[in-house]
Amino acid sequence: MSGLEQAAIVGIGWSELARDSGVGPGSLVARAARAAVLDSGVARDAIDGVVGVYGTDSPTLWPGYVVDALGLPDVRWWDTAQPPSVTALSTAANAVLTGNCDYALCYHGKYRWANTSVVGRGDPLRQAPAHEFDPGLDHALVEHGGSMLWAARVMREHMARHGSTRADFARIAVNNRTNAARNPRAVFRTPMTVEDYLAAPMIDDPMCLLDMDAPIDGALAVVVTTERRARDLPHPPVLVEAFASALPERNDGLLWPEADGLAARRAVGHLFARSDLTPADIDLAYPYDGFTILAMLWLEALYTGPGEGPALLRESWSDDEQRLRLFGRVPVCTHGGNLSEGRATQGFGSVIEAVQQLRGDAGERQVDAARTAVITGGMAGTNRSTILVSG
Amino acid sequence: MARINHDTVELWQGWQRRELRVDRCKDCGTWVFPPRPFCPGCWSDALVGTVLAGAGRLVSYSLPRVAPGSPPVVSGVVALTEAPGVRLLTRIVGIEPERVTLGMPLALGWWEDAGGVYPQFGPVDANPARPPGAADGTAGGAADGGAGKAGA
Ligand SMILES: [Zn+2]
Repeated sequence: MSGLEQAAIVGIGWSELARDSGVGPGSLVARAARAAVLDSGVARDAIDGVVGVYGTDSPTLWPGYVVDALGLPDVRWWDTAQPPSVTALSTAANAVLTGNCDYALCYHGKYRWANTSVVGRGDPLRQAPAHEFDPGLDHALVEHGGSMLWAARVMREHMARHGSTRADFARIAVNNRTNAARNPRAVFRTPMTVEDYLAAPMIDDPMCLLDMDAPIDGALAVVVTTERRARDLPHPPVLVEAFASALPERNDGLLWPEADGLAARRAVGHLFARSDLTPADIDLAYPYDGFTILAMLWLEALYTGPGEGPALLRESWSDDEQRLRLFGRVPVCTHGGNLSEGRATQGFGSVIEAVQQLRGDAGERQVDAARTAVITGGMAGTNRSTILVSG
Repeated sequence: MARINHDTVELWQGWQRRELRVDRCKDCGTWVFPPRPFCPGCWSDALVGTVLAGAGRLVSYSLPRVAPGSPPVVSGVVALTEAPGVRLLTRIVGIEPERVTLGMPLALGWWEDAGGVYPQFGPVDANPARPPGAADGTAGGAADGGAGKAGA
């Protein structure tokens, strides 16, 4: 990108991702952060910037907690971000490029709160989060409406308008599960088939259990610095090529199902406008998959016209492999996505996985000669964020 | 109990009187909902509360899982035909879930539980008397879906 220095991801780390970690949200974030700093090779005392998720139903840990837990002696820049934390990563990149700090620690985490899971409600040590998910509507206006699961209505609208079927969405779920079988981080690794998907119980018709990520405990972190400083560190740097985000035209994202794909499309347009790369150049695709409909809309935003995602998935489906290869080439969510790693990752698992792939460090998941990845995050009431990284 | 604040209390109080009031910009005609401090179209402060009859069309819906034996719930996004750009998330009542179709015309009604009175919608041709499966199984369920005049 245009000769300017770029930011580089030089360290990655994660806590255990688990249905029930037995520890609090602070422990998860601290463990992930420590692992990322150790992986980076940056001295602990040199970490001088911290940014992480702080809001809605995330761990609600501000950077002060992380400074304290890791014993960081001289942090001179910090910030917070709303999930999905692709935005936190872009904030970290900006901080090192402007010189606000030299080495930024960037974290994401999520916890199985009492308001997101039955197990959570049964555990008196899991407190309610400071904030609850607020799609921007005042709760009084929607809480009587029967279901807050907006994505189910987005899915219904897509099916009605474009003729997509449950079998189309099944390909996303099965693809991710197939990939997760090779990912030791993933929580859900048992192989499944399209038939398994079609037989899964409905949670909010047309959305079934296998269309949605499950609440889990976990945290992930990366260390970001400049490309120049990265040369002195042990791992090959993974560069942040470009970032772009979009906010919904309407804050009440629960109510505008057809708007979701449009805003994703806007974010993708801005992303590639800032890069010499085009979507066709990308080797690895990580569409946000908190719900299968969101992955569908992101894939359409990246590669096709509105409503043409199902056809792309049908053409890209390998029955032998039980997974997708877009255009016969590009794998999708090589780690299994949120659907397999769980909701704690909220798209940040894609950042960890892309770095492993572009380092050539993804073990049996390694995709040969992978040089570039596109990662998208969020939808509806949250931001829609996109980032391009290259090895 | 519904969470209301200084910006939404008037709307809420209207609901308790079974009145659907939506602000409209006096200067450019934009309908403004949920309540906002000024018109997002032209930034005029001149917003005028307008009571609607409550004709709507179904944008999309889902069928959330309910406890065994409970009546089905249709959770719908309704676009108000009298106020373009305004939508509500409400329960759709008085119709079997399998007969619900996107785009179907709907009429405003109300239901109440211990927390207060809320808007709901039902088919325009429904019996204006109490529709089935109105509330959430609690006593009362004093719904009167279909009371609104469609196409007003
Ligand atoms: Zn106006």
